[in-house]
Amino acid sequence: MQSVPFHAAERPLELLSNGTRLDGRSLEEFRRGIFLSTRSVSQASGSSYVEFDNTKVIVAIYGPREGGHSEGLYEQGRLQCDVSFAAFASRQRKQTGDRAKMSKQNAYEKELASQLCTALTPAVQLASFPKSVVDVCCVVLESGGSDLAVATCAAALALADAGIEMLDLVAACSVSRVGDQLLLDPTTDEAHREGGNLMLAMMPTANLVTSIMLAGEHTSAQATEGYRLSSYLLQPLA
Amino acid sequence: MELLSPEGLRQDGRRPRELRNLQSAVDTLGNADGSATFELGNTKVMAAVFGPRAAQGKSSGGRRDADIRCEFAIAAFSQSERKQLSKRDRRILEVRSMLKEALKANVLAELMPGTTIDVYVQVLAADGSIGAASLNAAFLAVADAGIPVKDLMAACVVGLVQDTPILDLNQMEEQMSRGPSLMMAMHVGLKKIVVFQADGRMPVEGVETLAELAEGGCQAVGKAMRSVLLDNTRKLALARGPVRL
Amino acid sequence: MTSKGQRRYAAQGIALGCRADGRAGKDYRPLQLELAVVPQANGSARCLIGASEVLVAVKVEVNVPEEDFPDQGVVHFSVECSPCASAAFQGRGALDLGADMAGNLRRSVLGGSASMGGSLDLKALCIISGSRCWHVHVDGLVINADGSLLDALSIATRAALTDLQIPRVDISPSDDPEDEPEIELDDDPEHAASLDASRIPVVVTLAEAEGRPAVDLTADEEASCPGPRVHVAVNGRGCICGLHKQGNAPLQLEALQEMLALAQQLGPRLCKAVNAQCTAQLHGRRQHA
Repeated sequence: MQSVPFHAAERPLELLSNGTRLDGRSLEEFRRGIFLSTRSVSQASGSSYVEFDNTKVIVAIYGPREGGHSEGLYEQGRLQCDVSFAAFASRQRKQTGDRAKMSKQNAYEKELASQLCTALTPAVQLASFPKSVVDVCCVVLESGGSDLAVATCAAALALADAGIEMLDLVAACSVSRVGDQLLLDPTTDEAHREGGNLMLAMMPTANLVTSIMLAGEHTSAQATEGYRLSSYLLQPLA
Repeated sequence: MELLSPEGLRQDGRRPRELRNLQSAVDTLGNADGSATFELGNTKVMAAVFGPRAAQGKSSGGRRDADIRCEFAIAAFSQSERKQLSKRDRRILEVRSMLKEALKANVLAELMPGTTIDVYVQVLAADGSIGAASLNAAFLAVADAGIPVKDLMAACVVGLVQDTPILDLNQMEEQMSRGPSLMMAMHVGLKKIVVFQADGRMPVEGVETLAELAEGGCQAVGKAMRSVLLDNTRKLALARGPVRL
Repeated sequence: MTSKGQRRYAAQGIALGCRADGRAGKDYRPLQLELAVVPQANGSARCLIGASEVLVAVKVEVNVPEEDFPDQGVVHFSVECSPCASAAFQGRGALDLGADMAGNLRRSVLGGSASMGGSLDLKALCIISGSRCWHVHVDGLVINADGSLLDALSIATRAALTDLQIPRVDISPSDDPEDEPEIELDDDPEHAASLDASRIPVVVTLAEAEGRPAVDLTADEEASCPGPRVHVAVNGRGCICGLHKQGNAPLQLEALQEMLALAQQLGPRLCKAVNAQCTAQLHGRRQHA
């Protein structure tokens, strides 16, 4: 069988025209095609499927189950997160042959998993399932930007669906800084040209931050503006 | 390239039976019960000992002696080419088991039943004779931890280059030499050989010359290690104040 | 292992602004920095904060650039926690911690996913656009763990990249234009170039107890503080270059703001101290040569 060469479309050079973004959004607007649903995986204790336009994430919760001996004994319960990308999630197919690229991909997935864990754990009442583990399995079906934020929302939804006791839902969003503009909920193309980004996850009712991550150089004002923007706009999302 | 010049000098200017600059120190790390660094020229190794402490896990419980565990790692930047070796790499495992066997042969494990001794060795810079340097560092750390041993143990590497026996090979000599090499560790006082690892084809009559040279090398290394340990003991004795009998 | 009483004592010390070793909340332990400690590396530094000791070595190699960024060099980060450093690091225990810290360093130094807002000029690492560039490997090694490891690693990274000498390359086009041009490395240290490391941030790790923030926690204090820890990367001008929350407790926005303000106040001072030690040592070496 002959393979068909694939040439990915060029990344756009300009992201903004007259203050609107390529997909017609204003700077401080979420993507319009938001779709949330639960009970998408019948075998799991709880699950969810979330779409933000092109970012599609499916999360399944298993457990609480007994924590294995090898993992040691913990008085409180634990979350164990796992994030993986579908082979077809990004522009470039997930490499399965090249070892160097695979280990890089694995490292990236692991990093996302640990960040997801940080974002969710503060909201979960760990004392309600002592000595047990809840598995959070997250698969990114299509990576269209702000993957971690979307995954966090989906995972919180799935945890609620599984009946795990929580203090509050967790909502998360990303902001990218492109030039001097702050773009809410960036797409992959926008993130590709970003000079810095901010990911904020919080419990909206309690107004508590569960996870915050910032990269790239920001002045204090930009950072403040970034999280004012994200925290303000997270309210309707939850 | 010739490893020995016509005048009989080596690439780094040493005579064939000359050690590189040796430096060692004990009690270098805060968290460990015993620790040491050992430097031989550009080779630098660090070792830490945790224990003896109550045995962990079921397998080592109820033992009549101490369980000695070893871990060995080479830092990614330690060689001239950057290389990240996994813990399961053959070269790592080889040195690890050598360290473990050598320490087992030296530590009086039966005096500490039901305990575990963890020995961790980390190579910071690799320029030949890694195994010998690691064993020396490990022994110093064990001694620093106050663990009873049979005798001071020292190790060195010798090799045969152009039919001339040379002491303490560096990285280049290890790689370029086509002759055999021998790593030997011995109890310096008891004059007993603990490790005898030969690589390459060695003529029968050459074994004795090499072993003799290695013995000399071990004695020299042992002397330096003894003085470091004695210095440290003196320092501790001073810190403790006058002893009253 | 610390007992419950010890933990409470340490947490109260932070809350009252007088800690077990006599420091106030925003005092650092003595900082010691040593450059060019690994002869095999292109740049290296050792950093001691109190009893915490880390080593960062930088090595460069010529390789192909990433497909998405043909005219940029690539910087890799890795952190290894030697089991020598702490009894908790044995076996596979430290793998995740090392990967976490490496990711954190990468984000603070390189910025967002596109590596554009970062503090390094990656374009300067390009040799031939699209085919050859420098790959810079930043390898950290934790030698002794007594808290604030990320702070120490970031300081050592900044110092090691200041110390970094990239060999000059001579590009000679080969006879056949279809072929790749030949690249020759110039071993002469006189011709080596250095990288602009002045914008690289340092990480300030903060924790709080009862509303009082504290920096530079020892291992005991890290185990005692119930609240979250926040790693803030700050550069010499006081800009925030990275932020990461660690720990299972939630955080109030006001507390975060207070921590950020403190980090922005301490970061430039720390950068200055690092710079002073770096220049003194580089100057000393030049005179020696």
